Amino acid sequence: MSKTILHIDINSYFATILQQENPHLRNKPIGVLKDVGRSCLIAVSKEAKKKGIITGESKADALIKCPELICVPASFERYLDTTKRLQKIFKQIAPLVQIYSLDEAFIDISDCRKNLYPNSKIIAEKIQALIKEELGQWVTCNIGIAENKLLAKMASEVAPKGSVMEVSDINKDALLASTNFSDVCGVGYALSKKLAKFNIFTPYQLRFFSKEELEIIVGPFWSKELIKIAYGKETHLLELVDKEQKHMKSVGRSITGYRLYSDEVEIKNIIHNLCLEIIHKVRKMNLCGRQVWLGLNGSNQYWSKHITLKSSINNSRELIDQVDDLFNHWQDRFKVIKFAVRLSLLKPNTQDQLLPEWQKNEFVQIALDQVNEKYGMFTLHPASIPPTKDLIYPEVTGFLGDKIYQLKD
Amino acid sequence: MYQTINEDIAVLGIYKNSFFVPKKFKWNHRVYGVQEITLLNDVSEGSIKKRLYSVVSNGNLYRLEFNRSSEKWRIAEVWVE
Repeated sequence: MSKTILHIDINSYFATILQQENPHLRNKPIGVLKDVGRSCLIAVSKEAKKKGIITGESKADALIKCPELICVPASFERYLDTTKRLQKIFKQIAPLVQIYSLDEAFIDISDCRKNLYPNSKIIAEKIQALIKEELGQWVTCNIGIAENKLLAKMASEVAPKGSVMEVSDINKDALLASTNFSDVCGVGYALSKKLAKFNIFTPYQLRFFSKEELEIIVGPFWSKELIKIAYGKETHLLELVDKEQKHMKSVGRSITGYRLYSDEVEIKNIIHNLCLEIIHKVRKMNLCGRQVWLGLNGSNQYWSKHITLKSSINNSRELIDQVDDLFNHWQDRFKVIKFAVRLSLLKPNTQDQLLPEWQKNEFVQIALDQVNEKYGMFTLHPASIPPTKDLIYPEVTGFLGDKIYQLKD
Repeated sequence: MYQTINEDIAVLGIYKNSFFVPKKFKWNHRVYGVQEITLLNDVSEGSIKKRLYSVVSNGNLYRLEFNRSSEKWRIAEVWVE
C-alpha cells in the first residue's frame, strides 16, 4: 500500500510570527535581524520578498531596495515555543510526526487514512485551520501531500502561499518537469550549478541521462540519488528522517561577532563562552565526547584544528583547556569575525570519574549545573568568559540541527 | 521598534479553559483594556517559567510577562513607531 505523507511548511516563519504578534507589522516589508545592532537579515516577510529582498542580504543593501523596510530583532525563545505548539497540533493528527526544521514537519497519515482521513486534502485544510486557531489568523502554511517526503516537500515548496497541493499520478510528472532544483530537497546550490552546465534545470530532465552519464558529471552517490529524484522517489537524505537518532553525534556552536577581533583575551573569552553552551547541552543529554574542534574565520582567512582524545569529556574546564591547546597552535594570526567550537564523537556518559582530581572537577561542574538550572543559564560561570552583559546565549536556528536537545520532553 | 520598559504592573483577567486571559492592566496609574492577545508563549529561565503575552490595547502593542514562580506581572516592552 502506498504511503500518504503531509509536509507542512509555515510561510516566512520568523517574519510571520512577528507580524502575527504585532499588527503594526502586518502587510509591511519586514526584515528579521538576529539581534539589535546586527546587519544581516536572517529572514524576511513575504512583502519584503516581493520587493526583491532575500534572506541573508545585508540590512544596508535591503534598505536601498526598499527604504520603508522595518527591521525587527528575532525572538528565538518564542519561535522555539511556537514550534513546540505546532508539534502538539501535528501529534493530534497522527502519531508519526517528524519535525524537520523549526518551521517544517512531515506527518505520515498512511495508517490513519482508511478510518480517519479518507480525504487527505480535508485533513490538510483542517491542519491549516488548527494552526490559525492556535497561533493566530496571520499564520499561514503550505501543505504538500504525496506518496513520499520528497514529493510532499516539493509540492509545498511550489504551491501558492497558504495553499494545499496534492501530488497524484496525474500531476507528478508535470511537477517534476516544472520544479527548479532550488525547490528540491537535498539538491544544493553547487550541485544544481553543476547540472545547469549540462542544461539540466528540473528533475524530469534527468530522465534523459543514463546513470553512467550522470556518474561522470556528479559521481556515484549523486548519480543514484538523482535518478531517484527524476522519478519522484524517496532520496537517501529523506529516508534518514525516519530513522530515529538515539542521541546527537556532535554539539557545536558558532557565532559571528559584531566586529573583527584581534585581542587574544577577547577571542578566548568568546570561545570559552561557546564551550560553556556546548557543555550545558551535552550534560543535559547525559553525553560525553572525545573530539574537539575549533574554527576561526577572518574577513578572508580561515583556520581550524581538531584533536581526538583518548577518553571522552563532558566538563567545561576540560573542554576549555582542550580548546585553549588548539588555539595555541594557531600560528598565522588574523582578525577574527566568526568563532566556532564543536565537541563530537558523542556517546552516552556512563563512566564515573575515578581519579580524585577528575572528581573535584566534576563536583564543581555539578554545583555549577545546579545553580544554573535553578537561576538560569550562566548565572555562575568561569571568570574567563565575557562579562554578564556581553554573554552569548543559546539560540535556535531555522534548520533546528539540535532538535533532539531542543524538542526533548 | 520595541521600547524596553520592565516595570511591574497589575493585571485583571479571567480563566478560560484553564488558561488565564488578561483583560485589563494598570501601568503608571492608567488602566489599559486588552482588546486582543496576538501571541502567547511559554519560556523559561532556569527553573523560572514565564508566560509571555503580546496584547493590543487601543491599537498599541504591549509585551506582558507573567513570572509563574513569583506570580508577578511586568510590562516588558512596548511597540513605538
